[in-house]
Amino acid sequence: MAFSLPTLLLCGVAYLGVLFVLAYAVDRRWLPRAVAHHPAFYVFALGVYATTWSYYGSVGFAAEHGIAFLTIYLGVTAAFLLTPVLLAPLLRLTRNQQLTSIADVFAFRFSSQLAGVLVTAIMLAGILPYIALQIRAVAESTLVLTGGGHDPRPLAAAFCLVVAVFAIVFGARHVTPREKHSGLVVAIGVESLVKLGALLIVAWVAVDLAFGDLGGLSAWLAEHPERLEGFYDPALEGPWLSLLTLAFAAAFLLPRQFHMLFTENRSPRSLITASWGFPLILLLLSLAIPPILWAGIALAPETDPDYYVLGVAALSGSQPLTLLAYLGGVSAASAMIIVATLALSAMTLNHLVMPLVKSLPHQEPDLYATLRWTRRLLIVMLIVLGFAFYELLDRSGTLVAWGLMSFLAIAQFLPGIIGVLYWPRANAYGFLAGVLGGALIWLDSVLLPALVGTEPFFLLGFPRAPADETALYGSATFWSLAFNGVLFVSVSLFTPQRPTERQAAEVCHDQASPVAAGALEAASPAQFVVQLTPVTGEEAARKEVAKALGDQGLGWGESRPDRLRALRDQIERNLSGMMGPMLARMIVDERLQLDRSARTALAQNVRQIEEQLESSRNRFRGLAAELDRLRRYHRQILEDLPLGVVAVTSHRRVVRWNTAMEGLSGISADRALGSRVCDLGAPWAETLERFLAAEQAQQHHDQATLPGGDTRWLSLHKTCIRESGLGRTGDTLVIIEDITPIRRLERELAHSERLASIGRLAAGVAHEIGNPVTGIDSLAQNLRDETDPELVRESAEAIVEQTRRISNIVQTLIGYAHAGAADERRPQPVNLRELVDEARRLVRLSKGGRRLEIDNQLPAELELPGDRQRLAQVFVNLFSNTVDACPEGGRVAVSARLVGDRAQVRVVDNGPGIPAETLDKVLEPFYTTKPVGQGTGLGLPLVYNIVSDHGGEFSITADSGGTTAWIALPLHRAGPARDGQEPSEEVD
Amino acid sequence: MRADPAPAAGVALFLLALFLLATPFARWWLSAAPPWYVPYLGWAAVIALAAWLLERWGRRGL
Repeated sequence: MAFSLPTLLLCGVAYLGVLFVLAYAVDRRWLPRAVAHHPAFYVFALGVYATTWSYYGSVGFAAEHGIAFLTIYLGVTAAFLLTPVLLAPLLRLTRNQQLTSIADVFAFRFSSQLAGVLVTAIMLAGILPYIALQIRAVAESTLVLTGGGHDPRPLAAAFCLVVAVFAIVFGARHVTPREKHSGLVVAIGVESLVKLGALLIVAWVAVDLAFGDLGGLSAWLAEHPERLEGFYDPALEGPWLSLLTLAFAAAFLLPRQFHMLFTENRSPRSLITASWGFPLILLLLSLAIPPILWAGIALAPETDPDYYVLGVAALSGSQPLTLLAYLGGVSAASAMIIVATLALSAMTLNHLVMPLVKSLPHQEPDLYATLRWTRRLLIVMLIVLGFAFYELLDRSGTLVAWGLMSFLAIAQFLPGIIGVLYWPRANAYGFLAGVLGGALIWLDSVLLPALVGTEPFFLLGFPRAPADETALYGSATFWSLAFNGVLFVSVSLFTPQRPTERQAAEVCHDQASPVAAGALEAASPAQFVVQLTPVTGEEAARKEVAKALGDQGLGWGESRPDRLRALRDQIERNLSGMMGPMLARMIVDERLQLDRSARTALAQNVRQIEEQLESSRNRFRGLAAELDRLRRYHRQILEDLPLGVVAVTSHRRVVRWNTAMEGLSGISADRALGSRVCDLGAPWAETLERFLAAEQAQQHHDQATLPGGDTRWLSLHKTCIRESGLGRTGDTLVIIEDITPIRRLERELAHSERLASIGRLAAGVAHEIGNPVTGIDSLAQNLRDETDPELVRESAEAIVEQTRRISNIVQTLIGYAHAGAADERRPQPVNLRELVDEARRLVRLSKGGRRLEIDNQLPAELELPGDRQRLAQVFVNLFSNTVDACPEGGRVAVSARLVGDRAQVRVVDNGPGIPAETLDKVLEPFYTTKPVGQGTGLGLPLVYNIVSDHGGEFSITADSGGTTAWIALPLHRAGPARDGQEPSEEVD
Repeated sequence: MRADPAPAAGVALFLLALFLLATPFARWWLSAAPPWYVPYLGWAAVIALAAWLLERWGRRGL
């Protein structure tokens, strides 16, 4: 059966056209998201591993080396079994650091642009023969079906053109790895499904054609035992282990595998599915090979074993089957070329082109467009180079030989990747030496003999090259990897490691890297844009900052230093995905500079450090895990404390804001942390600023009005935070207690006390009011009969005078009784002498009070801020106590002197004093020495509280000669923080 | 804190694969020339074991 060239060309283009439409539909979101993003497509897309080598060449490989062909699949299975310790850590690293290729990984880990350049160069040299292999397979398979006789190169060129267009349209639409190519993944997944389906159908038809059924195959094998022996024997003698090693490395280091596994991965969960799903696909693919091989031997089609798939399909006489088999090969080739060129173009862009562009003194007007078009140009160049290799390489060899050439090249990165994940001591010198040494042997043993026909190992002079091609790969694998590994380890051990490498090694080992010291010079996201613009252009700078803000959940108004540091790190990671880690770091270091001369206090990085510890906690082991548990326990103590806890740096930035503080203030920890104290809003900004500026370590009964109008009473305490070995850090810990409920209770008790004292005054009041009333009564009676106008006028004036006296008494009582609302009043200047006189008048209303002699020695000019009514109650209560203690009449002297910024008021009576055993208890609420029903036990506690509320101190001393009450009151109330004095930026 | 068993399980599976493929045991079964599908059965068993272990790990998060 022969096909015409135009028919095959048309079928090939139509098939790729269908994939175009499918990819377009996915990118346009015409397919439901649940379908387009299904992990099955991701797993099948990994089938890009199976190229024409697997599709066509495996049969030829099996014909020559029996079951050894399975090593190419079993090695991959072995690599995927190590998902938890190999693929998952790599996925974590690439996602976290936005690394898009294996060259990015090495450049990042070894902090070396040279490492990126070398890896890219070796990748290019190693993968171009593989691309050439695909072109060759498509061209040769076309010749098989057309019967030969014409030049396959135009067809190969046309195939390259279509594939290049596909890669450009669907693979290079985005420049950042964060935006996945869903259409491409679905299309490649479908291609894998087509080649798997085609191979299984061909295998089934082959068995049917040659043997009737599987039983017939078994019978045929029983009749020809040499076939089964020939299937197993080569594995006993051939380079079984070397081939397994090469396939193991290829499973995740081949550019197309790395790209699909890590760069196009949407969810880490998909990797788990792939860890068994992908080996299962490979099992099914390879399951078809032995039946096709033996059917080919039995049916003897006129093709080389490499193309038995096509030959057997053609023998079936079914054109659709033959076309399906052909399209399976086109699928295998096109998928490999598309994904490989995408991966290689990104690598080349980041590590060969961008460093050159960066050095040019010219600013790109549109970074995104430049990157996108450069990448497209590189895709075309790579396919053209692949075509050139197809022209250059010796086409007489098997397909497998060209594939192994690429496998051996990328296997040179195996020691390096193990070092990246598991050897923190590895350094760039060791890596470069190892890769160069291994690549030299690859060049000497494999590439040069294929390109220019030299003898394998002619440069080294040893070992003797095996005659068998596959055995040569066994030898080359051993010597190149051994040389590579020894150089890598020994050079790393004997050369120093740079600090940047050490830091990157910590990141690669799932350890949080230390937060970089220094203060960020940019103070807002807008300044980030300004600083990035000279390098990226304004539009790209704005978009990158916006993306990073979105990633971090921040807004354009952000100014908290720790959030801006996180923003800077995010921008570096995002740029790394676009232009490689080294260039991204260079740009960020150059444009978003840190003032490294500034010491960054530990407290300023608390949030970043805690976030890093939280994200790493599952990976702590042993003592580190115990220390982390201890840290979390201590932090939880602070969080669960039923008191507000606020830690403030020396620059007035909040670094701790516990749950109780969130409840008390209504401000979330997320908003408060990193904010300046002055930005917390009323009343917390003023309250905290004032308290931090005050000298006193405690502040009792501070009043704060919340935005809703609710008034809270707070008790504040503060202490300096010390760092072990360093002493004071300048940071302050503030504990805030909400004493509003206690305060309300006190107020109610005080009101009760006032009412009780009014009750005690009642008799005196009645007497005071009774006298003028009696006088008024007499005058009124006289007025009835009085006719002398002069006497009438005098009587009326006397009545007015008496009513004024009554009114004064009533007003005084009303004012005293209604003092409950005084708590909300602002302090007013109070003249102490007048206050004591007022208290004297009040006390004198009582019967006993009239016998009390009060000597007011206070200076007339002594004024202090306070609540007049409450302070009056202080003296009323003290005088009342003297009245009770001296029923026969006592004497009280009130005097004062200035001590510093306080007035020391002394109230001395000549009563019997207070016994020493009682003196300690008189300030306790409800403690009284008076008979039952005569005292509430609240008088002196109320005095104490009123004085404390005024920022003063109250104490009592006594002896047999009397009792002395000491009242120290501040002459000025502490005000808010010094106006206009903004805390400086985060530098010490 | 209990150590994550997944890495150990992955390594154990890998060692099992090595035992089956790259030890004298491999030479033994290769030289015994079993029916051609037997290696595939062994391979499928390893994949099934891996699926069981790794899916359990995956449910707890990577």
